[in-house]
Amino acid sequence: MDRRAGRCAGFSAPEALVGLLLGLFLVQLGYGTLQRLRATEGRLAARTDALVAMRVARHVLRTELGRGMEGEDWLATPDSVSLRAFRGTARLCPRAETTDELTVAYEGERRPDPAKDSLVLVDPLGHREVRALVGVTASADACGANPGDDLEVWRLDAAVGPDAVLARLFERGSYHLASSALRYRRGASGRQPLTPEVWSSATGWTLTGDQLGLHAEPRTPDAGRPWEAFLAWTE
Amino acid sequence: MDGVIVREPAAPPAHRSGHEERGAVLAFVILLMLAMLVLAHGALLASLSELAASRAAVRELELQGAARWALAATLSAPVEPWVDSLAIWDLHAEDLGPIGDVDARGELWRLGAESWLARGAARNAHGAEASTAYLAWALDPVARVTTLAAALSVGPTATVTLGGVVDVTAPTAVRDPASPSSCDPWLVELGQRYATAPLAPVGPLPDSAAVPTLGLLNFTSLLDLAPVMVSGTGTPSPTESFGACLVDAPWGWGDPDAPSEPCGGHLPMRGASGDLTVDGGVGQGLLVVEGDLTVRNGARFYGMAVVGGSLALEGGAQLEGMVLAGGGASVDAGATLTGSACWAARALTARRDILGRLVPVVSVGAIGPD
Repeated sequence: MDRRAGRCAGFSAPEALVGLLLGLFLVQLGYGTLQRLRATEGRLAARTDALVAMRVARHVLRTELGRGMEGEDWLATPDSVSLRAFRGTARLCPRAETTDELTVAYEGERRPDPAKDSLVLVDPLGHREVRALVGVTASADACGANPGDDLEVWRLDAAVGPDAVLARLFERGSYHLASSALRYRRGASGRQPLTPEVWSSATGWTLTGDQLGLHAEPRTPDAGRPWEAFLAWTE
Repeated sequence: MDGVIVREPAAPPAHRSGHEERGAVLAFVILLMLAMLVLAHGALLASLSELAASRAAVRELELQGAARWALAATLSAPVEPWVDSLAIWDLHAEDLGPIGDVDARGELWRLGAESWLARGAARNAHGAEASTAYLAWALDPVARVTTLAAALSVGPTATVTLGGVVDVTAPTAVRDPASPSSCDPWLVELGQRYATAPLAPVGPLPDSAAVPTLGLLNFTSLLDLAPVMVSGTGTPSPTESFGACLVDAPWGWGDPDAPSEPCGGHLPMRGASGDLTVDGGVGQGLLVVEGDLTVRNGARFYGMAVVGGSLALEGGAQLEGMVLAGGGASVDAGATLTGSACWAARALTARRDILGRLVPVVSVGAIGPD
């Protein structure tokens, strides 16, 4: 009995030691794996945010700047790009006289709003005139042979000649790289973020030779390397 | 035996302890696995959302690429017969077929005589769409002719010497040797135009330019479009072979004296990258001369001449049609310039296949939505 009991007691000490060591090893392994997983997930999330920010910035800015001409429709300064943000296009019903009321077929991202919108009127050779939009009413007239066209009458602040064939609706706005994100400001209102706030203060516009670009540097190195994007030609 | 069985010791404490340890480890391992599962699930979700975003970005790029391709295909299409019959504000749409998984479509809205809204649109199987558009310009012969205020349009600082005759009394008249019906398609429009504002003998080039252009076709483009170039001095004459007109003969400029002959309907476009002298002979069509154009020795030309330098009509030369000369002109005694919108329209119409292609109005930029 004693011999057996002593044998049992001797067995439990190394067994406990090994168990403890194994437990510690398991805890260490588990903790390390957890840490690594957590770090990886954090990097992944940061990278995803950075990619989203870059994609959104590139898509929005290329689209907006591609719709206009540098100097006439947009201007880049070190801290912002101010522009005519085109929101739609209207075909103008042919007319023989100079008038301040145009019958149009409009297509755009949103409805025209006389409170904030203006027009660039374009003739066949690309000459432009700018007018403010004063009023919009539905038109009972028909123009052309397309029954699908919803016609409107646009009232302008000043008359326009019969040559213009197209009207481009725009609002004044500016894009800023501020507080770690791309932000849009319409007129004199506040700057709204369009992207996640992931960029460092080294992010900015790049004006090199004949092109405007964007240098985006993530705030954390985990989010990936700095990124350069072409946005528009400046000549 | 029974006593031995009764006294059999219970399981040793160490053994019991081992059971407890294994239970703790199991619980710990399960908790650890759960924690890792949660984190892995989070990472997987982040990866999946990134994958979805990347796929969406790729689809968007595919759509935009297809829309731009459709726009380019629409803008570069040859001049089709339906162009003239499409009324202002009408739409011509054409399915351009699938590009990968994306269906592309080209659209042309007629906005005016020379103005078009060209649009490329794309749609994929998921219903996503993209489009891009450009304002485009295409030469319309009558519209272009009627923008000219004078039979002889010159640059703002050019000198004009008129010793001969410049006749602008009947710009729509059809005279010999032209066939009486040759001006029928444009007679009404031209008549309305000159009823309100008669053709002047001499006037400025459109937009007071120094170098002649035809709308958005600048002088260099016009010269590049000329399919056959000539140079130096020559005498135009109809060039036929086995009853067919040799349309590529450099000095074969049609046969205005015999409209029913093989070369009677041939109104060519000829370019010259330097000075050009027409020494006698007869021809019709569109001449684009980078240097000076001299027509002499009784030569007769019917159509339109676009001259970067100056025009000289001398030695009984006759030109019927319209002239744009950046460097000025001289019409010597005995020579005649007859203003004819009809001949000018004929010359431009004959080369509509070359001149009437769509030109994007790049100063306006792309027109959304994109």
